[in-house]
Amino acid sequence: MISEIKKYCRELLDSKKVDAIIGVSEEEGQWMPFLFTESSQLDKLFVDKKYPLMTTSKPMKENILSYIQRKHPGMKLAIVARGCDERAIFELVKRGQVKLENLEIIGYACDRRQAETCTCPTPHPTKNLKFGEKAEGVKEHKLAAEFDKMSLEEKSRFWHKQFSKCIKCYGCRNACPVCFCKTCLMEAHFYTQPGELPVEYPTFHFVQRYHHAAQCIECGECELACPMDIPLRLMSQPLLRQTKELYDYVPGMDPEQECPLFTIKQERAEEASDELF
Amino acid sequence: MSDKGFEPRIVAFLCNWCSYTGADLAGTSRLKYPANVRTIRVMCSGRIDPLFIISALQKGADGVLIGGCHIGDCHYQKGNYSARRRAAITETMLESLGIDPRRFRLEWVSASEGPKYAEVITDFTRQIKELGPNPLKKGAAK
Ligand code: SF4
Ligand code: SF4
Ligand code: FES
Repeated sequence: MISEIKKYCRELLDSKKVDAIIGVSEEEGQWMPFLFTESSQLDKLFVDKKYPLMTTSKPMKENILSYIQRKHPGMKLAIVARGCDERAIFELVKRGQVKLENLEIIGYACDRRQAETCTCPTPHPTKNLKFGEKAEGVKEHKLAAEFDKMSLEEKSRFWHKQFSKCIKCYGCRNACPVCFCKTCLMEAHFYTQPGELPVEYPTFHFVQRYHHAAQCIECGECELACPMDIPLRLMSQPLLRQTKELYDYVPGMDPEQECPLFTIKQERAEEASDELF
Repeated sequence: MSDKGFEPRIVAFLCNWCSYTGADLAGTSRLKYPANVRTIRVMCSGRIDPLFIISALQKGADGVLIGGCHIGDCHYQKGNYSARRRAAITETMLESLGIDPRRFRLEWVSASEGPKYAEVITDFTRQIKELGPNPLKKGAAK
């Protein structure tokens, strides 16, 4: 697969269809995001392991794509993307962080092993799959069956136990590709003073999860990042199930589909038909 | 779990244009309702960030009520629609955290519905009494 992707990228660059390609490069065992502008650089292109390409870099307060789009408006770009990268791009598009104009998404599928590592339900791009075969995704969190059976009291105890481990490293937030606010509520001074521990469970974790209620693309980065092995996504899954049921909305699937928390079009349409207005 | 003589503390976020005026009307009409409510006036039910709800619960409220204008009557057109969508998500969120979602309620009370306001408060207070003190308050993980 990698040689095909490289070949395709080489063509894109040589024919000047795009000015640059965003991807991951490997040099001396180190991976990093890289802007490929010459086809000779493409030997370094790396796709074997997952790399959170769309994550907002916290010092820069921007993700790589929006940074380049802002610095070089009009530049024709392509990005080598996995399923989760594509979904992150779509969610960020809805929130005005990146643009789809002058952007080609070169999508490739992950294999089943990768999907299992991330517990990813859709391990392939949905709109721009170009390379590789669709593998089957992992639909449920490994603890979901057990968790769903718990009573309220057991759930409460479960989370108290889990979150008593939390060291407030902000890793879950930092790793999340759809988290992009420049001023994070988890750092807001009325909750947290610099140099102090953030507020206790559940407010801290509630903020982090609630903000992704209809936005989480189930990439699994938060859980992979958490040094304390807290099953964070168990908290998001019921919310995602609910937005699917109520509004038939799955984050990251379609850049045109509006987030149900931003729009009330549906109600308006229903009421118009009731001639309420 | 219900303690004898337990008087719940309820935080009510009321929208300025409808529910707050409704509460006022209940007062001026001398309607009787339990005195367990601490009212916070907001301009619109759409102002309520679910974070307020969880913060209130964490800081010792036993129940949280949001009062807004009836659907279609919001003075900012769509605030209460958003409130309704957020409330649905908040309930699921509370439940998955193991907090009884019945501790949270969203009600539409218009400026002329003093009696309804009194009713809502009476009913909600009764319900919270049944549920007992909020376990989060004690930071209770046994
Ligand atoms: S799985 Fe975690 S890191 Fe990925 S989008 Fe959802 S909350 Fe963010
Ligand atoms: S990554 Fe884990 S330990 Fe760090 S703040 Fe998030 S939940 Fe807490
Ligand atoms: S003004 Fe009353 S709900 Fe918006």
